[in-house]
Amino acid sequence: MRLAAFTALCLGIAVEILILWEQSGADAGAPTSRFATPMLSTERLLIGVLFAIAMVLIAIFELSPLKTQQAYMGQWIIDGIFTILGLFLFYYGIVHPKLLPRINEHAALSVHTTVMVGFILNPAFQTEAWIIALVLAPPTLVLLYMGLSYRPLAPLLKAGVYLWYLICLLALTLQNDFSMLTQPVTTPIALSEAFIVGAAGVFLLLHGLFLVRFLLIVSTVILPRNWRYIKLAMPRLFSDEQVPRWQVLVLQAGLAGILVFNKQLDLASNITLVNVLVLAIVHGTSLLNEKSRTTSHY
Amino acid sequence: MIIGVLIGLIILLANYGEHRQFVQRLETEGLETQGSVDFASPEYGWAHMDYVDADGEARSGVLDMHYYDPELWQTLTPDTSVPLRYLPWHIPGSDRVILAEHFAEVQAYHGYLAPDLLGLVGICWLVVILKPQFLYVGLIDAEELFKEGLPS
Repeated sequence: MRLAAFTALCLGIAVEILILWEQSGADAGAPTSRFATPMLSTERLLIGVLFAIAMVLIAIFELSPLKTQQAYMGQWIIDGIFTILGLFLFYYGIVHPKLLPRINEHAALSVHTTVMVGFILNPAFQTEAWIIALVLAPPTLVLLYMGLSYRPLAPLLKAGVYLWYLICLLALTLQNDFSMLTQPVTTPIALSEAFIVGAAGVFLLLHGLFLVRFLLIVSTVILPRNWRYIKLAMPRLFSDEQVPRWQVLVLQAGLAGILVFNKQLDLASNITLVNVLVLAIVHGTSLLNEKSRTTSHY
Repeated sequence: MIIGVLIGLIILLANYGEHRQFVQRLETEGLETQGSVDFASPEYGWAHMDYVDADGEARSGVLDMHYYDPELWQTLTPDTSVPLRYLPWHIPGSDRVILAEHFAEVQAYHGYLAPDLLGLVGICWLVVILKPQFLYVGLIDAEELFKEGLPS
């Protein structure tokens, strides 16, 4: 891809990591106070600075002879950047899952709805669309029931829902085309698209790596004595925040509506929109959790 | 142990993906011709085959014998003529050929699920089930997690 697009991609990666970092601080623990948490956190300040630097770099690349220069894996500097990123994702995806945002059953349902509708509308799966819908109907009904119920889920159920959420994200990862990173691309990529690929790529790969660990975690429940660990671990990954039923239904209809509307008008690529919606759902849930915790503290 | 399972799963998936891709290419792009045995290496499980492709070019390819019944070795003496299925030169994997009459055995092959690798994954998984504490590092407070002592 062009250097300008690569800069946008790196900006997307950095912004997503900083957002996850900021949210992990809020998720980790103690109730935040409006005095202890400044309006402009270090992460938000850094995001602003990075945006400014990226804009300058993009302008330089676009207005100079470097405009046609391609950046892809195989060049030592790009390999270096992705090696560091790979190690970072490996550490925070497998070893210390600090960056994973907390979700609830509504976020899991919304991600499921978005990925499922995205799957059905994906031109590559047009002939199998009704089979996909049929296969995904049972999990949809179960998740919908959980999402509409105000009763907090049992830890083992939470683990099951969280595993399904990770599987949905894996399905989304497999639909994404990351080949623009590994080879020179002849068709120009929009800066916004490169930014979204960067942000979504980090988010999806982080969760994809954690899926391996979480699969092992879930597999250990075959011994009942291991259930207590799930009970202790799930509050770190899953919140009991409840949302009014009408909001859950409106959100699901809205998400499906946006994707169908986009498909009809062909405004943006289906997969890009699914990426954006999934990021918005998960970060939105994390923000709402934080807000609700701050409010309940006072 | 997590890393052991991860590496084992990656290798298994890579083996599976490589085999599936090869079979799919043979199904969609594969061509058939008559080939002859150049030389065979039973101890390593492969034979070197010569054939002429659809463009009239003389080519050679490796015949992996792991797919087939071991008794087939006895029929593959040098210069024996056998029907082969091969890939055009521009398709990845075109350096390999298979026995056309035994394509079904290649399609049904599951030897990539190497027993030693499955064993390694199984042992790692068993250890993880019996001593799962390390799976929860970062998710549960260390004091709570290891209050019964470090797993030995």
